[in-house]
Amino acid sequence: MTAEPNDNLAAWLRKAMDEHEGALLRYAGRILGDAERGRDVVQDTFLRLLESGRDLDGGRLAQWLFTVCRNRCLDVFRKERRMTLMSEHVERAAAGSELAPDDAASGREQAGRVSAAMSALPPSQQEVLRLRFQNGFSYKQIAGITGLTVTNVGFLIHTGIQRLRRRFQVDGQSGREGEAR
Amino acid sequence: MKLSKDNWLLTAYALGELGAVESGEVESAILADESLRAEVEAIRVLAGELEGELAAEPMPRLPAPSRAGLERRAEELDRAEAARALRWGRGLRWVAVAAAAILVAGAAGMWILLRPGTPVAPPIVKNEITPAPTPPSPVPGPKLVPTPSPYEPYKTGTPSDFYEPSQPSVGSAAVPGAGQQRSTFGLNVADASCRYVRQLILEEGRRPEPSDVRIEEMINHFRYDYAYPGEGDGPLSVRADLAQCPWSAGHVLLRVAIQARAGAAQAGAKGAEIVAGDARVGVSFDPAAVAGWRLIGYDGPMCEEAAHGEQIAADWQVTALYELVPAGKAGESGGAALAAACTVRLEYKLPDGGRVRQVAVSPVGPAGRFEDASDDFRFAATVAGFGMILRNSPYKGTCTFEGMLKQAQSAMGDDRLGQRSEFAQVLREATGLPPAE
Repeated sequence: MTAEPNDNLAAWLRKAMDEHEGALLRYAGRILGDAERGRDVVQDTFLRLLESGRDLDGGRLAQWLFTVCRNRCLDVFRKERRMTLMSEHVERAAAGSELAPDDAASGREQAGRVSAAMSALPPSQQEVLRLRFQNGFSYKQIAGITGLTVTNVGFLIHTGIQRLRRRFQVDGQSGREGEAR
Repeated sequence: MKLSKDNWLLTAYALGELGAVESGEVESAILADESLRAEVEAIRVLAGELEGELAAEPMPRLPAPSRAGLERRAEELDRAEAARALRWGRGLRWVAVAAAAILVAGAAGMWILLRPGTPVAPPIVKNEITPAPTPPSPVPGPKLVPTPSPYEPYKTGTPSDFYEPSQPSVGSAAVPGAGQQRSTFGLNVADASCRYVRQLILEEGRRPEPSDVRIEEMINHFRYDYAYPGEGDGPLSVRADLAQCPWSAGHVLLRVAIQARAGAAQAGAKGAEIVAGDARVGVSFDPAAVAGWRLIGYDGPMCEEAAHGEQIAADWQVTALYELVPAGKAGESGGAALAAACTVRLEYKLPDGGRVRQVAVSPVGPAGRFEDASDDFRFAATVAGFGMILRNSPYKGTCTFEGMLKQAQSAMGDDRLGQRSEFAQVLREATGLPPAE
């Protein structure tokens, strides 16, 4: 097409994908533990956007996309009857229970020391930490996306940060011990 | 207010998440306690480090076919929207069609010819609530629905279903009766496929799957130097040209080129300036001189859109190519009879009024040598040839990457947008790549 209206749906979709597809792929890939199924979910999320989310923009658009994406991920789990650690954690976190660290996730490749330490946190904490520090959502938006209360979100983020700090203290000591040997 | 270090409000405060009242309370608490201030500072440092590290994580992208599929869906919805907006006029068009049908009944597939710009003013039957149903056809005659070409039948289904038809015989006189001598094509062509092909070849170093190549999208990705409509011509101009087909000896290419008038300068901010609505095009062939024809590309479900009127924006243009097989008597390139046997009819409404305008043209003169055709014509044919190679089309004839590259280089025009030299680059890259599969 040589003359494309600036305000049409296709142009708007392209912009939405340019802005959000990467963040959504990371998010879905992490929830599902599978980049490929994550891609399917993200594609489906944008398809749904075309059908029903047309008058959204800015932060509302981002929140809508993440909410739908998350629900689609959980749908995938339900459909496949694969209640993995992640969704169990999500459900237990929603019920307000405390969770044990997920050691299975700690083998993941991580670039930085903080995010490396993050992989040892329970998935529910990882999820809200990422939504806050990677995607820039407010507590209120995170509550909207995850279905938690704002207090739940605040509590999870607080606990996550405290754990990371403790972990660094521990890691720091073991590092020094390592050097001493 | 007394706060312990384990209170989640401390973190919320450090991250600026509290409202004014709570924030004030935490503030007064930490003013009174230096260890809390240090705590807030430590939280902020960690948050900053976390933010920095998470921002550095790789950002995956959707695979190009997924994106292209979504964009196509959006474009479909755009077109459906535009069609809906103008659908009330459909009833009136059918009145015009029926009138035309009565006039030309028995005239061997030729459509009524009207001088460019001649307005037709049927009685206006405005029906804004319910779209007019498909009308009964009281007389046999032209139907403004897409007529399947015998060579590349219209298909419906999911994008992965598209392929070139298997019978490789273009000129085998497989032309049923006169009722099949009409064709139409969608006016608003996407270009997702072209961008996908370009990305795959230039950036990923591989050839696209044949089914991902849409020739009409590739042709219409490029800007051509078509003349704008003159004074008094209305918002759209249409022309038809013939040239000998470069990939199949004895065949002829018909190029249909439609150009909308230039946009008004002040309209830019508001997005598209619509210059015509309910626009549709029909191409008819007289079987006395045209033994066979095929519309190049347009073999996706969107051809169905051709049945609906489309909105046309300022500066828009569209190009369609037909491969024709001249009837035996007409000779090698069909002579003057071939030109007279092709008629392109365009109809549209002005955006502010309900009047239907119709324009009909035929190519001027017989098909000349391909080398003598305009740069625009040769370039469009080259893009089509490239697309046919990528699609493994049974009609690609003598097309090769090397040949297409040479042909493209001789059809650069002034290439103001740099599109054509980029296409040449794509061709050069594609030459060395193994076929998909």
